Amino acid sequence: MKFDFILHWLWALVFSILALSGIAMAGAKYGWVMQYDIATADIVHRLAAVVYVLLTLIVIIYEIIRILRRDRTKKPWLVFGPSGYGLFTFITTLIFIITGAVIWLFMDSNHAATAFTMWIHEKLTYLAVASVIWHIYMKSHALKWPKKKERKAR
Amino acid sequence: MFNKQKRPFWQLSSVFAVIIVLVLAHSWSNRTENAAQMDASMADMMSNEILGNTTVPDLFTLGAMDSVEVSSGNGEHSGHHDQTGTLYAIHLITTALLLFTLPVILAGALFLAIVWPKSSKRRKTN
Repeated sequence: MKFDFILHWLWALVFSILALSGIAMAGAKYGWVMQYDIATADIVHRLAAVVYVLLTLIVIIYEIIRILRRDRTKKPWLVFGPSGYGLFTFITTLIFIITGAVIWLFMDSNHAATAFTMWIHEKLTYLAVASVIWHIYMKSHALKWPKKKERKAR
Repeated sequence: MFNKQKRPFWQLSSVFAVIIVLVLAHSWSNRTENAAQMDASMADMMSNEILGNTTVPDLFTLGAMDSVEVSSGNGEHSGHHDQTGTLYAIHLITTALLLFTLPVILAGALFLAIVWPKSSKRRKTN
C-alpha cells in the first residue's frame, strides 16, 4: 500500500473526528452531534488536533524530501499540493493550526485573541466541511471497489 | 440527468443521512437535553461580547492569568484547572508537542511556499 494513500485516509479519519467534535462544541444548536457531552468532545478534539498537527508535519517533511530529491512522480493521494484542492487544504490546514494554537494557548490570558481566532476557526470549519463534501463528489470514482482492474490484472 | 459515475457519492450520502436521522431521533427522545435553545454559536457569542470594544493591539496584549488560588473557589473554573491526574499530564504532553511542532510546520510551510511556484514553473517549461 502506498504511503500517500495511507496518509490521505488517516487524514480523512482525523479530519472527520475533528469536524464532528468541533461542531459539537461550536454551540448548543449542534450539541446533538455528540449527545451534548461537551467535556468528551473537548478532550477528543484536543487529542485529534495533536494527531492532525503531527500528520501535517509528516506531509510537509515528505513533500520537502520529494522536492529535494527532485522526485517528479505524481502522487494523486497526497494531501498537500502546489495547486487545486491540495493548495486549498494546505492553506486551510495552516489557518486551522495557527488559530487552534492561539485558542489552546491563550484562552485564559487573552480573551480578544481567543474570540477573534475562534470566530475564524469556526467559520473556516463550515467552509472546509463544505469543500470536503464537494471533494468527495468530484472524486467519487475513488469510492468504487476496483473489481475491473483486478480482473484485468489476472 | 443522474450521473451514474457519481452513484457512490449518493450511496455514501444516504448512509450518512440515516446516521444523522438516528442520532437526531435519539437526541429528541432524551428529555433532559434542552440546551438547543441557544441560537448563536460559541464563536459568535464571544465575538459579540468581546470583539465589539477591542482594538488591534488588544489582540497582542496578554491579560492577567486566572491564578489557581483565585479560580479554585470559582465553580466555573474549579474543575477546569485541576492540576493532578492523567488529564493534566495529557494536557502538558500535548501542549509541549504543539509548541515543538508549530515552528517546524511554519518553517516547512514557508519553504514550500517559496519552492512550489518554482517547481511548477519548471514542470510547465519541461
